[in-house]
Amino acid sequence: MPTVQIEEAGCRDCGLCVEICPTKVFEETPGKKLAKVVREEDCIGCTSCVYLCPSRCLTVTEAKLQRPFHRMESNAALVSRFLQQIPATQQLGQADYDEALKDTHVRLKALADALKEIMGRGQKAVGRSAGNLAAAHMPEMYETTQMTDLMAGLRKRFVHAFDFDAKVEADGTTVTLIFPSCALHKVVTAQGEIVGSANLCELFHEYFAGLMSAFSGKSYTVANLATVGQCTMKFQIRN
Amino acid sequence: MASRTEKMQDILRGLRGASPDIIGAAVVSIDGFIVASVLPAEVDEELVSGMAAAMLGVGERISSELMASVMEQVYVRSEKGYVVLNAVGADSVLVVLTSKDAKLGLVFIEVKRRCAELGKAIAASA
Repeated sequence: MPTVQIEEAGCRDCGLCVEICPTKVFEETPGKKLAKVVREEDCIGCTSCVYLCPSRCLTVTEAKLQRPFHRMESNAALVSRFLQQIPATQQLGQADYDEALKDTHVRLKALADALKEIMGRGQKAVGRSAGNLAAAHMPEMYETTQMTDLMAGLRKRFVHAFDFDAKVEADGTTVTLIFPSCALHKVVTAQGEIVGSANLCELFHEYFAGLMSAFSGKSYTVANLATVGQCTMKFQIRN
Repeated sequence: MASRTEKMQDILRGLRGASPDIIGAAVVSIDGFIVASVLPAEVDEELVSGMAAAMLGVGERISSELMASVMEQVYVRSEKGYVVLNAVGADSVLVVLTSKDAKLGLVFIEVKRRCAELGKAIAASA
């Protein structure tokens, strides 16, 4: 059984040991500025008190976990408190999400602008490489080689972020995408930039070309872009 | 009649044959595509093309910011040799790999000559 001792001269009656002890071994002494050991036999040897005591006047010897700690009701409640069984996200409101989204917008724009500032035209290659790398995380897309099926798969995959209608020419050399909605539109306009020509849009276009190329095994490149009302993009196989 | 890629491939073979110290070469577009290549088999062409295009971009930026002029060439020296990147036309870059014993002056002359030929091949097909 663990032995718990308090060096009385050092105790400042901060009450931390009383508060932290999961088995209520300590109590504050009425009228005296010190804690005392009242239920030594209940000590489970967790040594929380030793680590917490600011005066270092506590010692626990012969400490071994001797009881089914998790089965004790009070400890189960304590564990549950520490584990925070209510997920943090459930405590957030719409305003918190909006604020977090705004932060994400700023971060995305800063990242795209930094890439453009440092890499200049080389930014395109980075976007394309990102598409190639991302493709590896969507293995299901490799199951078809038909561009029409592939575009349908990509639409389903990305529907939460953006939607598009795809027109694939019979020989598959040209794919036209019309985006009625895109999560980036909001990001770009919120930052006062023009949809389609913003750095972030350029990065995304190349990213998408990279994805299409990786899945189809052909080198698609952004051939044309129109942004009147909605983005219309034409991808072509590079000669 | 030879296609543009075949012409460029011929020019690159000529460049590689010009010196035993030239290990390989490739023409890469600014958006990261390999246009023509005579790189060693173990080189990942896709990766090299992306990196070369990115490096061309960085080279252009640093040249315009620090020198207020147009970038012509970037070269990287490592323990095993050199990588030389030279702009070709407006939208491509020639990547040349050499051994550490290469005489850089000669390599640069050869690169300059081949870049002119490559530029003509690109312009003719535009």
